[in-house]
Order: sequence, then C-alpha cells, then structure tokens
Amino acid sequence: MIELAALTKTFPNGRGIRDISLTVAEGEAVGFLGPNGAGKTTTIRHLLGFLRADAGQARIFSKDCFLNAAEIHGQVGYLPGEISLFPGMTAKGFLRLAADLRGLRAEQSIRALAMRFELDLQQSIRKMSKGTKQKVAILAAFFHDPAVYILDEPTSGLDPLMQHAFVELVQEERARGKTVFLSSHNFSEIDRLCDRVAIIKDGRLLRVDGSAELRAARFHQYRVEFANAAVAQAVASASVTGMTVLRNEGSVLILRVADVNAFLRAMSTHDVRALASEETQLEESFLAYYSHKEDAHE
Amino acid sequence: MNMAWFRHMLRAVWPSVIVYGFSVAAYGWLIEWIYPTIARSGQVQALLAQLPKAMVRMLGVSGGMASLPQFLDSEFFNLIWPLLLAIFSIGLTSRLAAGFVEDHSLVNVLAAPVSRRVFVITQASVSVVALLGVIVLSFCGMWLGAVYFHESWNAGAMNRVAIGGAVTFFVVSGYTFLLSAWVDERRLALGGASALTVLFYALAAVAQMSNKATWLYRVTLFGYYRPAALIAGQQPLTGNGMILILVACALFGVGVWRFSVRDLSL
Repeated sequence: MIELAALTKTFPNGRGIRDISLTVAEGEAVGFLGPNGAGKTTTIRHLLGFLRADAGQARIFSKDCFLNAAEIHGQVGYLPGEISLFPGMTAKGFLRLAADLRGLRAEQSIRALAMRFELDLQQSIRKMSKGTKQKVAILAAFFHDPAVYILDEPTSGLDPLMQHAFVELVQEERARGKTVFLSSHNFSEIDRLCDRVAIIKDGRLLRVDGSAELRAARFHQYRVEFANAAVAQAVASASVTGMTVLRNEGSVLILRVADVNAFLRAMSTHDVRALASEETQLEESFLAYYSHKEDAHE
Repeated sequence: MNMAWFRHMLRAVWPSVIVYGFSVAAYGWLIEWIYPTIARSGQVQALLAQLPKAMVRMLGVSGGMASLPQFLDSEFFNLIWPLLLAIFSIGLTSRLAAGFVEDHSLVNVLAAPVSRRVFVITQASVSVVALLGVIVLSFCGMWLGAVYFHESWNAGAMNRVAIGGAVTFFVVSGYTFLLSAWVDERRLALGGASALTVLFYALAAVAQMSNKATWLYRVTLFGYYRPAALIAGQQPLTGNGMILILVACALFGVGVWRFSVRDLSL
C-alpha cells in the first residue's frame, strides 16, 4: 500500500534522508520514530508529494507520490505535524470547504466526529486553542473515510481524554482494514496502534521491528525519593540488573528500569519515602535500547 | 481550476476589492466635484502656462484641463490610480502562492485531491478577477460621479485608460505571481515586485520629463501606460495591449510551471 524504495533527498545544508526503504502493507499500521531532525517529516513530505526525491521513490497505491499526488490524496487522510488552518473561518466552514475540495457532502460524518471529540463546530478558528485546532485537523483527516492515514504527531496538543478518544478512533479504523503510517513520540500510542515501528536517525532508517521487539525495548522510568541523599547515593552506586540512573537530584533518583522485579527487590532493602512511575518517551527508550545493544555487540 | 477553492478565495478577497474599488471611485468623485472650480479658474490656467514644459509633462497636464478626462489624467490617472492598483495587485498576488506556503495553510488544500497546478491556476485566476473587479468598480463609480455632477464623460478616452491600466497591471500581477510561485516567503515576492514596479515607474517619469530620455519608454512597463496619450488617442492600444497580455500570460504560465515542480516546505 505504501512503499518507500531507496528514498534519498539531500538539502543544500547537507541534511536530508538517505536510502530509506520501507513497505506498509494494506491494513497494517507502522509507527515512525526518531529524534528531532532525523528525517521523519522529510519522509512524510515525500509521501504527500510536497518534495521530489533526488533518488528512489515514494509510492502509495503503487503510484508515484510526486507525480500522482492529487489522485492519491483522494484516498489519503493526512494529519500534519504543524497545524495551520484558515483563521477567518469557523470549524464548520473550514470542514465544509475541506469536503467541497473533495467534491463530497459529509455533514453527517463531520457531526459524528465533532461529537466524539467534543468540538464546537460554530467556534471561530481564530479563537481556538492549539488542542482545539488539532481536533479540527483530525476531523479533516478522518471525515472522508480514506483507505490510508498518514498521521504526523497526531496527539500533540490533545488532553489525555481526547488522546484516548483518538487512539480509539484509529483502532476502529484499523479494525476496518485501514492502513496507518504514524509518527509519534508516545510509547503507549505506538504500542497500542502499530504492528511495527521504523526507527530513523540522522536521515537513515536504523531498523524496522515488530510489536514483540517493541515491547522488549520498553523501559520503565521511576522517580524514587529516599530518606536522604546518602541512601540515594548508595542505590545509585549499587549494581542492580537492568537499572540505569538517569538523574541524581540529591535524595531523589530518576531511574530507567528494564527488570521491574529486580528493581523492586533492590528498593525493598532501602528506606524509600515515595515512588512514582513516569511516562517513558518511546524515542529515548528505543534509542537507549539500541545503543545498549550496539555497545553489547562491540 | 478548482471551483470550490475559487469561491473560497473570492469570498476572502472581495472585501479588499470592494474597499479599493470604492476608494478609487470616491477619489474620482472628489476630483469630479472640484473639476468645474479648477477648470474655470483663470489663475490656475495662467499658472499652468507659466510652468516649464518638463514640469507640465511630469505633472501629466500637457493635454490641458479642458475636459474631465484631461483633468482626471493630471490629478488621478498619472499617479494615484497606478499607485493604488500597484498596492492592490502586488499586495494580493504576492500572497496567493508564497503566503500559503509560508504559513503552511496550503497543506489544507493539497492534502485534498487538488493538484498544485490546479491550485496555482486557481490563484492566478483570483488575481486577474480581483484586479478587473477593482478597475470595473472604480470606473463605474467615476462614471456615476460624472452623471451626478453633470459633467461630460468621454467614454472612448476613459475606456482606453481603463484598458491600458488593466493590461499594464495584468503584467504587474504576472511578475508578482511569478516571484510568489518561486519563493517560500511572501515578503521576498512583495519586496521584489514592489522594487521592480518602482523602477519601471521611475524610468517612465524620467522619460516623461525630458525629450532626450523618451527612449526609456521602450524599456519600462509604464511606457505602455501613458494616460495623456491614451486619452488623446495617440497611443496604439490594440498592438500594445496584445503584447502586454502575451507577456503577462507568459509570466503567469512560468509561475504555474515553477510552482508545480518545485519542492514545497510544508
């Protein structure tokens, strides 16, 4: 359904992407992951036909994304990473225009999605918060029932409830056989939505892994407050299987934990005042995981 | 051309068209109102007779003030009208491509099944229709003013100025559009087109002042827009008009091609 074949683009500043090859089958969901500046957005711009590749090809429905962009977009729902709507309109006017551009009448579908995301369609875009604009952009990507979704940081700006609503929506679309290509920093989002994850760094695709690898790579992160700094220092100096100290803040340690049982056993021998779990960023988790594996190979 | 987008754009630009059209018409009314006072003033006529010929040409009053079109030429068509049309056409057209790339809102159009070529042809059409809208509104307003003030309206002379202005600013819109389609930032298109227009106008002003510099008319766009000559019927409108239309179409065409093939940082 989506094919990237040795896709290469070099910008005048020397940055870009090199030799990116990836296939997303029909009905599959692939997460796209990498640090800022890694080449995620450049790759997505090729899929949308905004950039012409120096070498290689980007294809959707077996059609060249640059040459057949308009034809392809009839069946693609795109949620951009940077939302820029037309400020002089209401949400309803904007979505009606989006439907007109597609030659569709989609009032029913738009109303249903607006209810789901608690979006007031009469609200002026000029007065909207970032999160509300994100909701409008989500509606614009989903209302026309496309076969393929390309979603760039889809939940940034959404509150947790709306993030949940969005994940549910994508899960429903997946159950209907839709294909999803999603760029995200959120581990649980990719974990719940994607079959595979592609990791890109410095413009090169490092690897593509399945969900088992995805979970194996997942680290837990904890914030542990000890009785005093000396205890914290003792824990930081101790060798605990799968535990890495991310930050030492006196009596508080921020720890990355691969083996939760070994971690809990180690903590039970110290005077712990408080323990809280922190959300791990998928990107840092994966990069740490692979740098760890590469170190082990060396 | 995408009709849904065209309608959206017209709804967005019509307030500007109305404001500019009626402002120009209102200025015309003002001039038509004061015309009888000036035209029948012996002192003004004497003052004009004393001015150096170069100054008279520079002021655009070489044709005298015997009729309303000649008076409008000196007070209006020579400076205020081209200035307003330049501000309008460059301000609007510079936004039509680069403005939508710069603020990333073009994504909303290109994410739909609308090709870049269709988008940019629609934008070019908006530029032309809006320019014609301002010109038609302003001339209709001035004609109503002439009727209201019981002044004679030389339709032939006024139509020649309107058509001469329209084709000249069709070219101004053309090079503004080309710049807008070429660059990512609107200010670059705005600055480039404004500088080029000022240069063309300055060359025409120099050519107007001195008989020795009339050759400059051949290298400036405003050599084709000389209101006094158009009113007097001394400037070949059909031939020049066709040349300017062809040049403008070529500029718009290159702009459409460039926008269709270039990388867009959206």
